[in-house]
Formats: sequence, structure tokens, C-alpha cells
Amino acid sequence: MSQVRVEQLPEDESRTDEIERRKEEQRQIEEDSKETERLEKAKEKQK
Amino acid sequence: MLDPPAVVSQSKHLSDVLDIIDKATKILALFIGAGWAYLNYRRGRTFTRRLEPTVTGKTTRSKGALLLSAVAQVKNVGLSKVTIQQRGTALEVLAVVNRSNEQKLSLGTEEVAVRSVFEKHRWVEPGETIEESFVLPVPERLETVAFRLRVRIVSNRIEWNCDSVVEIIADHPVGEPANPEQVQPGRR
Repeated sequence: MSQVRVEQLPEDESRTDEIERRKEEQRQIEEDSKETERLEKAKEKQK
Repeated sequence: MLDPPAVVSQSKHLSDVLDIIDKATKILALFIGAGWAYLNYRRGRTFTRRLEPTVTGKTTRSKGALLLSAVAQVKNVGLSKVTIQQRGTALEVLAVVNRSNEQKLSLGTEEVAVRSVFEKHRWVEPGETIEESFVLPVPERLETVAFRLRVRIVSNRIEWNCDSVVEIIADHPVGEPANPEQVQPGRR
């Protein structure tokens, strides 16, 4: 493991937007996976 | 014989001149001192928002799954309070993949995960260090040679970035073969 760099720059708005989009995607994936898991458990209980 | 009033007058004149020189020197020294202090203040960026982010990580295995554990840390090395803006602040995990073919050696990166970081810390006080640790599962593919961790912190139109590379732990102890059956006869 190695530290590469630390830098301080003016905010890049396009990168901020890109990161927010990806965070939202990730959140959606996690929510979907939790919902799938919940449905699977409900199905098993019904059986 | 000397005229006493003339001596007194000369002495007073000299005293006035010295007084003026003294005052001028003091005023000049004051300006030089103030200028020097201001220069140091500007150069030292004393009250400029300054953060020192670091990110470290390692891979581990559990029940056959590859896990990445990491610690993101930020130290406020300035003398001003820094408010963390969650929009744009994130920890990114990228896979460093080997795309080499027979002709040329080539490495690239692929996105693995993005997650919010320092959500519970709305600001960092001067001299304060905050940190957040996490563990997340990462996909294991043959072409992945390492993982890259990136931390981006945004505060009032300034961003700080840092990154580090995390090697992938071997799926068997170093120095031992992955498959014990591959051990040559006679070496056991």
C-alpha cells in the first residue's frame, strides 16, 4: 500500500456531478439488493 | 565670548532634528514590521482552509470473498474551521486491471464503488483529525492487479484529493502453494 498524492484545487463541478450520479446509482443498487433479500425471505416464510 | 542664546538655539535645533529622525525611523520601522508580518501572513496562508486527507487500506479474505478494509482520515492543518460539503465528497474504489496483450503492457482502471464519507462530521476544527473506517466486498477477477482508493473532500468551492494503491492479498499464505496437491513429491 502506498500513498500517491494529496492535492488542493478549485472544485471541479463536473466531477462533483459525476460523483453524485455514481453515489445515487450505488444507493439504488444497495436498496434494490435489500428489497430482493426482503422478498426472498418473505417467500421462504410463505413456504 | 560666546553668546549663550545662540548656543541654546543651536542645541534646540539639533534636538529637533534628532527628534524628527527618531520619529521617522520609528514610523519606517513600523511600516517595515507591518509589511513583514503581512508578507508572512500571506505566505504562511495562516487562515487559509487547509486539509490533509489520507487514505489507507488492505485486502482480506473471509469465506472465500475478497474484502477491502480502508481508513479515510482528514487532518485540519490550518487555523480555520473547515465545513465539509457532502455534495461531491466521496470515497471511490477503483480496480487496477491488467489489459496487456502479447504486443504491449497496459494497465487501466475500472470503477468498483463510490460511497459517501465523513457524513457524520459536518466540519473539522483547526488541528482536529477525523477518520472513518469501512469494509466492503470487492469483486475478484483474474485481470485485477490491485485496488485504488481515492478520497475527495469538497468545502466551499475547494476540493482536496488523495489516493493510495492497495495490493491484493494472496489467496494462500505467502511462500505456500495455492493448492497443496501441486506440491512435488519428496518436498513434503
